[in-house]
Amino acid sequence: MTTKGYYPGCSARGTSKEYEMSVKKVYEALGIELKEIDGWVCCGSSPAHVSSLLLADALALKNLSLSKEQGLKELVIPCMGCYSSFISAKHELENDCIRNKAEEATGLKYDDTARRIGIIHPLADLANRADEIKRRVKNKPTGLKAVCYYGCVFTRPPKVTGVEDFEDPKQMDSLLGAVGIEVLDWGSKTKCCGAAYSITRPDISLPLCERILSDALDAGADLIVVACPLCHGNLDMRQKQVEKKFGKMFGIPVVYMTQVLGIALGASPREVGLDKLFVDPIGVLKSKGLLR
Amino acid sequence: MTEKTINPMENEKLRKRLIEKTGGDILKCFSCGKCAASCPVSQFLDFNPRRVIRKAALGADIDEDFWPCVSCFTCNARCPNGIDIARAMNILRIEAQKDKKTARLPGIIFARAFLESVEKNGRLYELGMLAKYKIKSGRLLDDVEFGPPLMLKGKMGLLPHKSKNAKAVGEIFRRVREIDARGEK
Repeated sequence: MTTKGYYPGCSARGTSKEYEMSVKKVYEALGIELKEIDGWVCCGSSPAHVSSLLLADALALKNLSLSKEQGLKELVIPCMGCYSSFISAKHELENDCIRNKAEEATGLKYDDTARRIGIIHPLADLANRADEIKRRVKNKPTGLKAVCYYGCVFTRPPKVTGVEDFEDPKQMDSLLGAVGIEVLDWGSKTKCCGAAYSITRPDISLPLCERILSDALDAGADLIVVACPLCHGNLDMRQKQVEKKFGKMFGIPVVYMTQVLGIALGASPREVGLDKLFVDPIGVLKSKGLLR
Repeated sequence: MTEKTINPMENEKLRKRLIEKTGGDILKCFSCGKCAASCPVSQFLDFNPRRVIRKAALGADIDEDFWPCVSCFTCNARCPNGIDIARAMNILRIEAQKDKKTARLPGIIFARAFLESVEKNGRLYELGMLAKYKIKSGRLLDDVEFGPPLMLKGKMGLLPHKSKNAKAVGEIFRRVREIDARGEK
């Protein structure tokens, strides 16, 4: 059993509980234990960025320092928002002026040990282990068609994420392909769902979600697969709101990548929290043989 | 109040600050419009990142609505000059908050309720933050249909998950405010 550091983020203890459950199940199946940073603090999310240019960097420095004290050399961060906050902060902390201010705000040093802590998103990490996942598959679907929805910040801004194929990423495609899911080509892979604007500006987020849901349906997908709690909430929980506003019926299940991977690796629907979704995926997963 | 009426103050000072805080980025704009063409919001709202950046770089009145930017970074990724446009939008939004009228914008009410929760608990207390947002924005009935299923599915905790470093976070917030205020002088 190997161990990796783990940063859950606030939504893991609330609205994206099933993401955390399924991430842990998948890593467990691969013999990797996720060790949570003791006393982790919020990354500041998007509200930090409209309030101060320094706050998110200072909060990241606090979390990186805790990781360092606890001997964690890398952090697995499933929430795409948190992941983005961390990699942006690490990028900014390379600037002397910003680093000095963040160190002053926290009373902590951004030294080489903290700097070397790797920030890992499960999407990239698991895609690198696609061959191993393929060997461990216990349940294989037949004819289950999915579209991979990457959202914004896994790939963007490329200067920070380092992702080269940012217009057409393939990591999730290869990952789902490894467990026998038929991945469809579509045009909304990296479009924006509006994130937290679903709360404050539904006039902006609902039309964005409508495009994504319509594209998925047009592509002939049985499922939309995501890797971000905000994308998930907007497309799954709010799907009925979109249907009502646009007078369209979608009824398309939206699952976290780790939920379908977990099932493929032998976990039960309950263990990966399929019962916590709003649009029920059980029917389609049974008819396509991923669930028995 | 229309969001468009929010005018940043003292254009020349703002222009200098924007240039400094974007590392000279906004001066690289040659107005090609790739950002606006790529922007998912520009397609259905009167929001145009090219116009915002152009006016900011010229030190003109920014009589533009920059609040709709969703920070998706599509413009950043496609800008031929590598300008961090989303960051420039955030800088403008931080500056605009000197105008007290912005405190009534739903996005600002949300951001403040979110950060107050984090400052106090070290982590976000989703239910408490949403309650505060609803009361302050007057949008009491928005999304209420999600409450019962979220509770039933165990996805909305009734109590906050406090970090044991909540106090340290409160201190970080305090010092960040001090350092940010110092930068204003």
